[in-house]
Formats: sequence, C-alpha cells, structure tokens
Amino acid sequence: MKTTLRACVDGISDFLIGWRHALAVLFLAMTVVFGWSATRVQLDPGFMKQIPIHHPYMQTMMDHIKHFSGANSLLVNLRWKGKGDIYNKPFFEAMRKATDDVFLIPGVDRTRVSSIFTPNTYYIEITEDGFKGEPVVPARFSATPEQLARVRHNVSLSGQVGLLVSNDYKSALIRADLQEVDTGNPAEAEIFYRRVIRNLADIRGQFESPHEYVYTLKQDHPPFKAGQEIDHGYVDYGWSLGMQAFYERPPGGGEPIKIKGSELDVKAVANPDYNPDVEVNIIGFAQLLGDVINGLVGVFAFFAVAFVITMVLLFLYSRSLRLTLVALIVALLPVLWLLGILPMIGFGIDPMSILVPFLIFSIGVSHAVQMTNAWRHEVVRGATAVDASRAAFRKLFIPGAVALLTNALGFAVIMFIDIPIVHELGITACLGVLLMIVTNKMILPIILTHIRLEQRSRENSLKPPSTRQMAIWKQMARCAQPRFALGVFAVCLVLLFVTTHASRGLVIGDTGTGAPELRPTSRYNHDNGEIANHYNIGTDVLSVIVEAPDFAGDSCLHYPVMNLIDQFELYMRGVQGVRSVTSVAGIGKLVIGAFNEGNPRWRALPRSEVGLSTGSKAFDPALGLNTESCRAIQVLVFMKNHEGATIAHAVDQVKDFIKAHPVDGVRMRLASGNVGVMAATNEAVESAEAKMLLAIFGALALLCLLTFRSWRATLCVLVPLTMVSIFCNALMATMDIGLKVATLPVVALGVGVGVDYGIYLFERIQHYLRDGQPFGEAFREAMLERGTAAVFTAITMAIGVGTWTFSALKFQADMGLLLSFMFLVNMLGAICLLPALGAWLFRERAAPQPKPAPHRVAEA
Amino acid sequence: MKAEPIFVAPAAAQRRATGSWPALLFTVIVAAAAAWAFSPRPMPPFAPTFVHPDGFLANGLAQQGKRVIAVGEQGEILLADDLQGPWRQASVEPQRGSTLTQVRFVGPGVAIAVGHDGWVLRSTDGGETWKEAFFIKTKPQADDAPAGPGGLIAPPPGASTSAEPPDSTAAEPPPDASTSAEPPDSSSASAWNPEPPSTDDSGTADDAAQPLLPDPLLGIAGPFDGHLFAIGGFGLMLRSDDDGKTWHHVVSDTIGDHHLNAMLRAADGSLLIAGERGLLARSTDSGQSWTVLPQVYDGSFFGALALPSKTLLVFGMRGHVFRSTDKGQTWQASTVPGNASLFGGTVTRKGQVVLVGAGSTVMVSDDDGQTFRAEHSGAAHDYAAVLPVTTDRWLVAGDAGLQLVSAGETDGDAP
Repeated sequence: MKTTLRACVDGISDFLIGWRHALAVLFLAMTVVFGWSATRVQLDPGFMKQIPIHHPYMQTMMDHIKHFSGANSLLVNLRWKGKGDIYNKPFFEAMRKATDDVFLIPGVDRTRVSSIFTPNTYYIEITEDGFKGEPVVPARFSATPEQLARVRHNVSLSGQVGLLVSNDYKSALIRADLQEVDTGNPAEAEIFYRRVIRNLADIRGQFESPHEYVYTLKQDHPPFKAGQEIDHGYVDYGWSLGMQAFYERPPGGGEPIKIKGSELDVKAVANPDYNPDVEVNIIGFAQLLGDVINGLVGVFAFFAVAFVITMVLLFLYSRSLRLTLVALIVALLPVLWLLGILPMIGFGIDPMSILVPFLIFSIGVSHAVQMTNAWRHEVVRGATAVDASRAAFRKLFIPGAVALLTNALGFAVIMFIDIPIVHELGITACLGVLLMIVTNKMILPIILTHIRLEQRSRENSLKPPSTRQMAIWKQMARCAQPRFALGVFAVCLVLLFVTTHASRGLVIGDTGTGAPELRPTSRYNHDNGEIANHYNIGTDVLSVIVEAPDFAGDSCLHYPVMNLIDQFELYMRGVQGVRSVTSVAGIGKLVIGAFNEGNPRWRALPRSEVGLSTGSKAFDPALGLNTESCRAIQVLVFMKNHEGATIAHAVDQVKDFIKAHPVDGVRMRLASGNVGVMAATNEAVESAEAKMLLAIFGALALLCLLTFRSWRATLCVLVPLTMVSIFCNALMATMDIGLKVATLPVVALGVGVGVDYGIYLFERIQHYLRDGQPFGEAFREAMLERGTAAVFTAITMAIGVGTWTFSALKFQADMGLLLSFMFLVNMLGAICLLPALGAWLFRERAAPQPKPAPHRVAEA
Repeated sequence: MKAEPIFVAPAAAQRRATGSWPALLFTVIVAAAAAWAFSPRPMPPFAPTFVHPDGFLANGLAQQGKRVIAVGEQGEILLADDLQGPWRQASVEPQRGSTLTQVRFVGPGVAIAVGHDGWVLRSTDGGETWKEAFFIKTKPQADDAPAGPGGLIAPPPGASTSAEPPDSTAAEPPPDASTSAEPPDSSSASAWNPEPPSTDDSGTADDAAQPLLPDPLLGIAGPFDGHLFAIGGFGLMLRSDDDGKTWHHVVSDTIGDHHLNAMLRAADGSLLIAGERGLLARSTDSGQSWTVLPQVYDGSFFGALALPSKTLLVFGMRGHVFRSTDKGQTWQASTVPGNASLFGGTVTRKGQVVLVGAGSTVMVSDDDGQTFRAEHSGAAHDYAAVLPVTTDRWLVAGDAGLQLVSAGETDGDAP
C-alpha cells in the first residue's frame, strides 16, 4: 500500500511536470477569473450571525423578537460638560435634534425610540385630587427658563432619573432598537450597516465636530451631475475618503446608487451646531461594528508589516530574490482564490473573520518555504530545475498534504461551535487551506521549473553549516539521548504541573468590562463606561421571558402570574452581580402606589383581578415589558458586568428559581438581551471545547497512525501538542483572556498548524530509522535536513500573526498573541520533547548495529 | 520500503514496552494532566442569594435596645443588631408573600408586624422568628388558573396551589377574589366569602358575623392599657387584648371606609386616629367609639407622632404637618420646606422630630415640630420610615431598601 501510494505520487509528479505548460495556462486562467471575482467581495456584517441560533436561550429570543427588542439596541447619550446640569437651552436643543436624528436612522423601530422628548415619556404628579400624567417635555417647548424649570420638575416625577436622565443630571439618553432584515445578501447587509454607522457618526459629529463636510461630485455619475451635492456630514474621512462608499437615491426615487468616495470633492464649512460642551456617547451593536470596521484598517497595516518582515527573513534564509518572490506570490495565491470564490458561493467576509486570509497567507508561506527549500537542495546538488521540481514534489507531497489536511481539520473542528459566524469562518478557512494543496503543491513546482537559482544562493547553500549552527544542532540532538531525555521530561513535568494548575483558572466568556472586541481604552468603551456609570440600568441586560398564554383575559391581572414575577424580581435583586431589575410587577406596584396617593405602603400586589387592574397602566405593551394581554412578559435583569463567571452565576440562580417556583400555566424561559446572547454563546463555547479537542486530537492520531503506521511515532508527535495546548490555556488564564468565540479556535488552530513540524520532522526520522540508524542519529539527520526550515517557518508565522497583537481590536490582539505562542512553542515541542520521547520509545534501536554508510546530505 | 509493524510479537512488545517506560509514564502523566486541565472548571465563589437590605421595598422599622427590625415587600423581614447592619433574614411561618407595612415592639422581645391581606405576624424572640396571628384569606376563583388547551377554564383541583409560595406549609386554597383596593362592584362583592375560623395554632381568627375583605393593615399602636391596635385600609381596625396573640375586628360606623394610617394616645389617655382625606378621629373609651374632629386639611395624613412635650403631630400629603398642644382639639400648621409627601417619622431621645417622605426627603425640627428644615432631599426615592443613628445621620426604609443617609447628601449608602 505504501508503495502504491508512492507510485501514485510519482505518477502525479510526472503528470504535473509533463503537462506543466497546459496546466500553467489553466491555473493562470483560474487566477484571472478568481482575481476578477475577488473585486466583488463584500463585507458581510450581521448581528444574527453572531448568536448560537440553535441554543435554547436563543430560541426563546427568536420566539419573542417581534415583541421584545432582543439585543440589537442603540443608546445615544448626550453629556453636558459645561457648567451646571442639563437644564439649559443649548443642551435641550441638541437633545431635540439628536432625538429627531435617531428617528431617521434606517431600520430603527420608531415606536420604540425613547428620550425625554418622545411622547412615551411621561410623568405622574400626585395631588389632593388624584394624579395627572403628561409628557415630560410639554408641547411647544422652546426652552424658556420657566419651561426648563417645569421640565426639571417633571423629570423628577417621571421616574426616569437613572433611566433616560443620568443620576447626576449631567446627561440624557436616547434609546432605540434596530431591526435587521436578513435578506441573505451580503451586499445589502453591508449597505444597511454602513448607512446606520454613518448616521451614528453624523449624530456624534453634529455636536462634536467643529466642521461640517459637503461632498460634491467631481464628474458626472448618471443620473447625478458634476458639482451636485451628494451628501453632507460631520465625519472627517481624511485620506480614507477614497475607501468610503456613498449611497444616494436618484431624484424621483428608486434604489440608492453607490458612489465611491474617490469620485467626490469634499469641502469643510463651519458647523453651526458644534458645541464644545456637549459630548456624544453611542453604544450598541451597529456602533461597535463601525468601530470594528475602522479597526480593520489597522489590520491591513499590520499585514503590510508582516509581509515585509516575511520577505526579509525569506531572503536572508534563501539568499535568492527569485525564490523569495516566488514563495510570497504562491502564498498570496490561495488568498486571492479564496476571495474570488467567496462571492461565487454567496459568502462575504465578516469583520470578525477578516483574519482568515492573513492566517492562510502565513500558512502558505510556511509550506512554500519547505518546497523551495527542498527544490534548492536538489538544484544545488546539480539537478536541473525541472528534475529538482519533480524530486521536491515527490519528497514533500505526502507530508505536505497531510500537514495541510491537519490544518484544514483544525479549522473544521471549530465548527463544533454552533454559531453561524464560526461556521462561516470554519468553511472559509478550510477552503483556503484546501486550495493551498493546489497552489503550494502543484503551482509552486510548475513555477519552480522556470526558475534559475542565483549563483549567490547556490554558493551560500554549498557552504558547510557554520560551526555555531552545528553546535546548536548538536545541543538539540542531545535531547535524543535517553539520559538527557530524562532531564527534558523532568523540566516538562515541572512546567506541566505549574501550567495545569494555572489553566484551571481559565474563565469562559469575557473577563473585563465594556465591549470585549475592543480595547478598554477605545472610544466605544469610554462611551460604554460613561453610560454604565451614570445610569442605573447599565448596558448589560439579561432578559427572562415569562410566558402565560392560557389565562382568561389579561395574564397580568392574575395574581399567581404577577406574584411569581414579583418574587422573581426580589430574588434576582439578591443575586450577586445584579445591578437592578425591571418588570411589570415592580412597575405595576409603583402605579398601584401612585393610585393610592403615592404611599409606598400601598405598593403591593392585590390578590384580585379588580385590584390588579389598578396597575394596568404598567401593562401597556408600549413600555416594551409585555405583549398584548401579557401573553408574554419580559423581566429585565441589569447586570453589573458581563464577565463570564458573573453571567454563569446569574443564569444558574435563575434556573434554581424556575425549578423551585413552578406555577401552573406559566413558563419562565431564559433568555434574551445582550447578556442572554453572551450566556448562550458561553455555553455553546463551553460545550464545544471538549468536543473540539477530542475531535482534533482523535483525527490527528488517526492521520499520524495512517502516515507513520506506528503508535510510537504517533505518541512522539501528539504528546508535545497536548502539553502545548495546556500551556495555551494557562497563558490565557494568567493573561486574563477568556475562552470565547474568538479564542476557542486558537487551540484547535494551533494544534492543527503546530502538528506540521512534528509531521515534517518525523517523516524524515522514520526514513533514517528504516535505514537502520539509531534514533539519535536519525533525529540529527532529520534536523539537518528539515529543522532549519521548521524553525524558520515557526518564526515567520509567529511574526506574521504576532503583528496582530498591536491591533486596535482586542479579540484580534488576543488571537495574535495566542497563535504566535502556539506556533513557537509547538515548534520547540517538536524539536525538544519529540526527540526525548523518541529516544526512549525507540531505545532498542540504539543497540549497536552494523552501521550502513549514511548518505550524507549537505544542508544549509 | 518496509513499514514498521504495528503489531509485534508479545515478548518483543513486552521487552520494548518495559524499555521505554519513562516515555510511557510521561505520556500517561501528560494525558492525565490534559484530562484535568480540560475538565469542567470550577466556578469562582459567589455570595449566596439572599434579600439584600438595599434591594427590597422596606416600609417599617422598629428598634429595641440594639435590635433593629425592617419589614417590607413579599413578607420579608430583615433584622440586625446595629443600625449600620449587617442584616439577616428572619424566619416567617407561614410565608404568605404579602407586603408588610409596619413593625413595632410591644413588649420586651415581643414585636408585631402587619401588612396586606390583614396579615399580622408576632415574634417573641426579638424578631428572629415570626408566627402568624391573623390573616384574611381570599376565596379561590375559578379563572385564576390558566385555561387548558381546549379553552376550558376549570382547573384541576390541585392546580392552583402553585399560587402559594413554595415554602409555605399551610395547605390552603390559593387566594383570589376581590380586594377593596378599588371599591368592589356588586358582582365581585358577591364573590367574597369569609374563611371559617382556622383551628391551627397560628391563631388565625376573625369575626364570623362580619366577613372581612383582605384589606391592608397600615399601622400598629399600643399597648394602651393592655390593648393593641392594628389599623389599615377601608376602615379596617383590629384589636388584641392578649399581647397580640389573637385579634378581633372592630367596626366603627363613624370612621366608615376611610383608610386609617396612624394611631396614637394623647396625654389624657384618649386615642387619636389619622387617615385618608384629612381624617382625624378621637376616642375616649379605648377605641370603642370614635368622634371625627373638624377637618383641618383635605389631603391625607400618613403618620402621627406624640412628642415628649405632649404635643401631637400629624403629617401627610404634599408636605403638610399640623401640631396640636391641646390633645387634638385644635391644630396649627407647621412651617415645612418643600411639598414632598411625608410617610414616616420618629422622635429622638433629645426630642428632635425627624420626618421622611417622597423625594428622599429627611427633615428635622428642633422646636417641638413648629418649623422643619430639610436635611436631605433630591433623589427620587420614597422613604417610609426612619430611625436616628446620630444627630445628622439616619437609617431610612423605603423603595430603595434600607439606606443610611447623612445631612446634606443627595443619596444614601447601603448599610
């Protein structure tokens, strides 16, 4: 079988070389097609893609998304930085404008916008003759001192302090819900969110930017004429204007037409609404998305840096400009193909999975290095370019293809996380890696047949390894001596003990406050803090939904239903990590109290329908806490933070309550709100973790057994990987990086990519073992032949992903750090622990045997 | 090309396996470490869930010696041995879940708490454990349970017991039917029915001749010559002659169905009631009969205090405070800052009067209640009761739970 495989590989290599001209034309044509298609690739952002849609919590959320907002909400906060509080004319004018602007954001549910200016915000005043309720801001409001005094009075009676007006009376809030229409078309999702993001940026800029920007067409763009004003706004795009897209409806209506920023002239004029005393804070998924997209610009810069570093390292390694360029181009090819295929299969690129192309590039470089390295050795030994290509292909096709398969497997198993965006990421990345089998293993050899190695590189390769290099390899090779190996074991055991202990501190979910995607110092998290610190509600909401569909009349008028909610409210306020709770029970009691002269002693739930109907003002569906007739009611639990442990604890406590308080006909269901989404995501991640690891290690074990046909070899490759996985968890725990959607794939990826070193190395070791050499010798030979390439690759890839560490996006920085750690340490595992294990597992081979003359290979 | 055999002869395998034991042992240790590292991780410790003093609606406070008791929503009672806390939950048996409105020490270690549904609780151990002394049950109503899939209203017989709090051991039908938070109409009025006097030792009792509606009790007074009074909404008045163990319904046609909010005893032994819509009524025969006094204010009075100087003080809606130096015959309006409704008050040992109310109001009088000055206001909470900690620091109970507030602050701290 082994020989049939070998024959097969030989056959492919002959075919490849024989038909290389025809194939070259074919591949060139494919590249052109994919390249053209790649220009159409779209960003495909979406809120719904980020949630584990099959999780029971999310089923609850989807069942009620029509009535309850879910988690795609927007908060716009205006903060007065001047003297005194908000009760002044400039602030109220800004607030009115901002409220109007929020109404105009596309996709905003206009019935649910609320601020002190919206009619659904009213106050209740209790007098000797009963009470009256009116909108907080009276009609025909023009901010006269008398009216401002009136509004100040109304606000204090409205119960909105801490909700729509901050506790320190220095800011006021506008809340809105965004309704995302999933058309399945990435282009429309991109247009939708880009418009929302631009609207939000303009709301901010209107008060914070001293300039207003007017955009006019440079040239005709039918139906628009040159010089026509296309848009005006408050965001200074600066040099990035050319990358923006504007959407303007043609006169007379119709679909918005896309106009590129590069077609526009921009003119800055003074902004009449600018007020240095007003600060605008905006949070919500759309704003977060906008900030993430802005952060992506940095990703391209890091990519450029990584590209240059890779190029320099490649050149230093091969001393051949041609090989360097070939390796880089071939590493870019799968990225280009992938971007070309995405629009064809109806996929876009989600901002959260933008890293995939870069990762593909890194992996591509690593494999291209192995191939060009092998080719160079053949050429230096005197082979022609064509023969060298064929030989390199034959030597590397099997380990290369196996390594790429394991990479693909690493990406495939992350699909155990049941979240659409992760599936998308897994599919995209799998596809990219599989494409690499074509580009790296087929196109590269064809290109190499046309390359003439520079004389300088040839001479450099013929130089014997320097004494320093030899000394290092000798030192490394000592790991393969049984006695020295014991020392390696001892060191590893100490490390293992420490890291295993540390890894137990790993938390699932987030560890800090604010949006985990961004750094704590980002504008978004500053805004988040401003809102969280000055209002009672905070921004982390867990919504528990109470379904009571079968009661006669209004379910809110049934004491068993309301009492359950009231008990739940009181219970949740006693749970650690809960900031406050809002529900129909609490508000109903407030209204009942108001009907009884505002006396707090009357703030209780009567046991009769008639009594409860006193509070019916609280059961108005417009308040967003219940549906018509209270068929479903949501209890909003505002959390102090969204750290993984806090959420898990709160969810556990809710489950305990539900279990202990069964009420006939009432079903309490977890969960909606952003914390509900996080809870579901965390649980999805938690349940995927073990499955994912078992799957990847099981599959790798199988692949290794098939390739090496030896359980000893399999152990040699897998044990170091297992250890490094534990190290990675320990690193995350000590660096306060939580296990979440962005970081869970790292272990799988690190293992999938890290196994390359072991496979490439052991393939050679086995080769020399079969020649009858003792393990130590075999290891030394293998290191001389492939060790440099392995070390070089690990360093290149680690640098490539390591640049992400400087990204403005926190999740990317975390991923970059962890991946470069995994790449480097897996390489160390392969060259230190692997030989130590081999030294003992293959010890009997060390018995002196008549040593056949080893064929020495001159290596770099 | 020969592959290494996967299967080797047993003897050879044995020899080789023994020879490589350090590597195998290492492998086993790594596998064990991985199993442990990736097994479900422990949750960090969290405080157990309990009723937080700043997380429940608290309506009443009482103090005896160092012991402090606070009562509030869902029948919760917290107690502490210092005004600054820490607070712990008392045991209430049976827990009806009705909101408690007032608490009062009526003897050494003996405390009474009252609340909605005519609920009276009694403790003889300084508030640690509470037993039920009175409760007005509501008749179960057919449509209290959900209709089945076929739309039928009739529930299975045992179904509606779920309305009871789960820790309740009292096997009773669930409460419903009308309360008189709104005056019942004729159809629902016919729905109520008195519970027969209970025979269990919790002592529930009522006047079989006069069926009671589950109206709230809002105040406790006494002991006055061995009598305790509990008063509340719609003219509900209960009297106990045995230190609060059993209670009897007292009916007064003079008072009618006004809400009764506070009762006190003047220096001459006459009793005074303050209530809804300016009601002030006086009894000189230990509450047997009542005379309504001339109205001085048409808004409601929520509380009354007897000052050490024998001055009487009533206070209520929209910042209205009146004082009487002639045992309630005539009343004079006090000077009060602001117009926040006042729901609770206390007198310090030095005779300083402290009143609290809506808008986080705390105000103080040093001249026997003639003039008050605002010491604290601005936040949007309703304070229902107060106890002095120092001359400028108070423990208040209200819709933000128990708070310690100091003069000049805008908001309080959790104790």
